[in-house]
Amino acid sequence: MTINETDVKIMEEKMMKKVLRQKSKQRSRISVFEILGFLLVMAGALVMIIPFIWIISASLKDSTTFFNADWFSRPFHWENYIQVLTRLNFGQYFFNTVKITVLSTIGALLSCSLTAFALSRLKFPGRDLLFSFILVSIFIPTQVTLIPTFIIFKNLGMYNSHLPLILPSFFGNAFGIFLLRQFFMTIPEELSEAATVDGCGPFRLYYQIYLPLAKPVLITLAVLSFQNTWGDIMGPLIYLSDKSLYTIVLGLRLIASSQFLPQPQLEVTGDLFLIIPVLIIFIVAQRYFTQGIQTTGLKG
Amino acid sequence: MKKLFIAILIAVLCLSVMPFGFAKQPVKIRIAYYADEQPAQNMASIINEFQKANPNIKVEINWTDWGSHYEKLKAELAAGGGPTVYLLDSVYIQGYAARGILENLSNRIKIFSKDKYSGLDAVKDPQGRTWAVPQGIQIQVLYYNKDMFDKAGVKYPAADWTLDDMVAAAQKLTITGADGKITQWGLCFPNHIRWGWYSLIRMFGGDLMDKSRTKSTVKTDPQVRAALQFMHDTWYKYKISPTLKDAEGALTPAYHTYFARKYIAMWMDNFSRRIDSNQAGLNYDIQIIPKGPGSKGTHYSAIVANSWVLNKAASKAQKDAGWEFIKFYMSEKGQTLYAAGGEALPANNAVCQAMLKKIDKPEHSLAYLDSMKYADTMGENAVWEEWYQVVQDTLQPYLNDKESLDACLNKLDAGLQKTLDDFYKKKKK
Repeated sequence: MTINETDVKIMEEKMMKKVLRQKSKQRSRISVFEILGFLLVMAGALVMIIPFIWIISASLKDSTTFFNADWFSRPFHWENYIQVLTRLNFGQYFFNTVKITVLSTIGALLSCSLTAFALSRLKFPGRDLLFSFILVSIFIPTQVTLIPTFIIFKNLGMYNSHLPLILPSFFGNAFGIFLLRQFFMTIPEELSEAATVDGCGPFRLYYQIYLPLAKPVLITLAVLSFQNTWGDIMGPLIYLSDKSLYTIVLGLRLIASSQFLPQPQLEVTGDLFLIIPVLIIFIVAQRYFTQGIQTTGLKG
Repeated sequence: MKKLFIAILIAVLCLSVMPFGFAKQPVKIRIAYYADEQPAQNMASIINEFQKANPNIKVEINWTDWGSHYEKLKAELAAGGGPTVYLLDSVYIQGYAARGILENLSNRIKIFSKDKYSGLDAVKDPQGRTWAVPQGIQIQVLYYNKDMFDKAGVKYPAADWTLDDMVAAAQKLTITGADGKITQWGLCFPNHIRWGWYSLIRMFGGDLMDKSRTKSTVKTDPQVRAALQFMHDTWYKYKISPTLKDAEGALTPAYHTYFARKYIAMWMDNFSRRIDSNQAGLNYDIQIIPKGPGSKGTHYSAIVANSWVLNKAASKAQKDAGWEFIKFYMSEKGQTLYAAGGEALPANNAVCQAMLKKIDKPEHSLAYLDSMKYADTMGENAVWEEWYQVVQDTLQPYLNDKESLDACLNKLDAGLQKTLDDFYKKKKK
């Protein structure tokens, strides 16, 4: 029995239809899943974005209507934005905040990476014990060390200057050291051994081999450090006395916080200005941030 | 002749040097205060004037907002430093004094008489010692919305009003919407020391502690029970005051905003409430606090005196210089400059009266001054912050209608006494 060309074509068409049907079924199954996933992500995004919309709405109210439940109620008080920019010595405070934040971030990156490198790659007695001590300090609340640290800086004559806000970051912080050490431990030791054989000293090893590899983690640490320092209130509040040294957060508190007539609408308006740089940095560094979190196995 | 000439020359030289030799050494003091922006500028101009009059005293200014002032102060004092002169609200004075960080001003304050100044009693402790000098006064009065009264056809509060009159008016002023929800309350007594329970207890003629402020009288003073029952009735029986559940909704627990947001017709609060009432464009006025019921009832008006204190750790020269500043501040000139800030009533009665006469709103602004004769503290002692929090928390289940008054009073008595003992008994040991 021979099969003519027409039969072959019919069979091919049938096969094609079957395959297409199967593919279409598969596609539709994926589509439903995708839609559900999309909806879930959208719902999550909405939950995340609602506070931002609320802040914008609240920034357009006055001190009395601020507490009313309605959103974007008229009249809009655009003057809040002008007040924040004009009543605050905004330029000066912005400069101070940037100065403290940038220097603190550099300090944190330098000190944490050096310490983490030593704790992960240099072998010396008591290394693990030292790391345990550093790790334990994560659990000590800042409030506990606030007064002793204040006394130290005051006795060093650094009260009413930016130094107490910048210097500590040059002595490392437990979280940053932990984060980087975890990453350095994932780099094969053969790499450092090979470099050592080629005559590479420990500092060169750190600078030329480990640091470039740790770029995503360093960026993660930089973002976190930036975020912590940028919005810090307690440190500047305790150490700064002169208005010319104030940061934006302190300045905002000065115009918004009041014993008798709090101006919460000015505070949220100022917060809007305050989150813009953090948002920009996060968006720019997002790729590295995610990588950093993945490679160190840390979750937020 | 030559000898005489030399003697005269030496005498002239000595005389010319003497003023420098006996001149006071320059003293540096630090003054820390809290204020809003405009009042802070007035404060700065007072300090400028003071420096002009006292060139030997160099002043460093620490100006912050109210909340930051206390946070900064606590850290600095704990570190063994702190400003030479600083502001404290009267409610905190005894707490600071009992911890040994304030200079006893009992002798120095004698230059200020009660005829000329208000609030002097508000800064004394139960032993009669004075630790501070009151400079700005906040006194509680009754605020009422005239438009709401007019609409309901209710007569404005009078000076001889009693709490019963207030309740009767509040019932007429409370408006319920078509959906059964209250849209306007006649008054508001929240779970708060000054706006609610403590003021009511004192208006009923009772108190939570004895005069020594170390022993609870919650169970022995029947007026405490009566006042708390009354407060509960305004929430649930008369339904004229918002409950805690109501505050969870659109009202929010920001009680101090209810009057300006036109949710309530009457509200007991201090001088500063006129700021946002004016800003909100309310048609309002004030009256002295209504008298509590029965023969023991009073017009109790809670007073908070923003006061200057001296740091005990400062040197004698600094303390003296700080005291010079306080004297200057309390002078008519200093108080007049302070009055321009408009946040509080100047402690100097003459300046206060002149200031109130210039105020357009509220119309009967002298009622603030009239209220001074009913002024009394809010049970201040060394653990004021702790005990009022204990009372507020313990009252919560009763005010939520989830506990009987008897059970609440038992817990309240035990909790309050424990808080007092924890400090005073340990101190004795």
